[in-house]
Amino acid sequence: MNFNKITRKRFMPGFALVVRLGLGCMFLYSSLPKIRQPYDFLSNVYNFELVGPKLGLLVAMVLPWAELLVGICLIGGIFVSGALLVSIGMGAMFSFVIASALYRGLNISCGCFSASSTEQIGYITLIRALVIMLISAVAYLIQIVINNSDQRTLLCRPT
Amino acid sequence: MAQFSGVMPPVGKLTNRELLQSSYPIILHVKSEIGPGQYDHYELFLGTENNQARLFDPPNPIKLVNFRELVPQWDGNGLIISAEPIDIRAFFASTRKRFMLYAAAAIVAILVMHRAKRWLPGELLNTRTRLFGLSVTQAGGFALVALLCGIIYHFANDAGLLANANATASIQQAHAANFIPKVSEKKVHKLLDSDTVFIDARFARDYKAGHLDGAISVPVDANDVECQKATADIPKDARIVMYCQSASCTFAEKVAIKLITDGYSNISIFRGGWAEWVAKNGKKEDASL
Repeated sequence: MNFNKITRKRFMPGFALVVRLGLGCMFLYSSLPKIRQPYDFLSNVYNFELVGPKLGLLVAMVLPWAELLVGICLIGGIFVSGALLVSIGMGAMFSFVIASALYRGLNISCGCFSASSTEQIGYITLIRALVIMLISAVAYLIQIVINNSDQRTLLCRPT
Repeated sequence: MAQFSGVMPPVGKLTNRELLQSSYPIILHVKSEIGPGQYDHYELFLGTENNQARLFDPPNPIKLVNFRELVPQWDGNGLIISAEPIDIRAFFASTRKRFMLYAAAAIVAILVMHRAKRWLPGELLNTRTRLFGLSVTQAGGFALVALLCGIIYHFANDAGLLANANATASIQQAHAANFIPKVSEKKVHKLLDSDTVFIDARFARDYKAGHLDGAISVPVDANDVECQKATADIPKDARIVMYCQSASCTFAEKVAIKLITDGYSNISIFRGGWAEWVAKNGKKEDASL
């Protein structure tokens, strides 16, 4: 068995599993306080000054549930490639809104993991959002490779 | 010894359900006003009456508050008060049961989905559908399910944003200044040569000490009559740029909201204000002074 095969068979699925569980737990952890305290999260969304009252309301209603669903699916191992794609999208969105707020000099609460927390946005929160996006992207690519090799195995299996 | 004195350290966030079932008085950590502010106040919960919370906020008399109205003001932190040791397991028993039920439902759903994968025509998913297309479809499904869950939850739940329209509206009102467009110092440069009206929201003495060329003074402390007199010549559809001292000053936002209420529709705020203008352009006395 050459190095390539070992990497594909052992390392990549292991890495994908760790990333899946890590991201899943993080999304679960961040979604529950937002669902529990929607008014604080709505305030946080408005503080970024990127959306109007109606779009902000929609974001505050939908985003925590998207995080919860993605978290459950990543931990449970169902619809993983779709969940990772949403995770990439959310990471990109978080990075954009935090970078935009930093550029405009806003001194506001991040609202990342707890809607009522006092953690301010800063370069650390921006780096964290970028890391979420990058790790999700790597895990997504690995997932595609794993799916592809599963497909080949299925097609080559003798009937 | 905190426990023997009847004081319990925090063990987790409370919800309306626990308040409804509580036989203990609880000191609640609340906001003094609904809106973007911090949780800066405490009120004593004294039980329920006609499905409403009995709240005591000295020196005011005891008031009855709908549990729906309590949600946007309370962060879920509470200090349970009792002369006897508190049975915290019994206190959270129903919450624990509910949590176990939700967790079991989630596990069953995951197992069913795993089984469903085997029942699905595997070759259809693996061979005919492209993998990227499949994940995009799944992502679209996530968005749709999240939208449905969010709408149903916020409509059906007492604490929901749709079920509690008054609280949501009060938060939107408190954030009204966030919805006003902002302009940069570069944009202000361009607008100075146009028909744009500049309004200085600082106190009159600060305006006299220096302001943008042609800016009108509408101080934040001006009353309604003074405000209307100062803006009488400005058409309702005119482009207006408000500013005050610096980015941390909120006078421009306050005056802008007053003008929007008066019917002005095209208002922006120069957030950096006079301080940013002076820092980048130097101080220049206005000819009209």
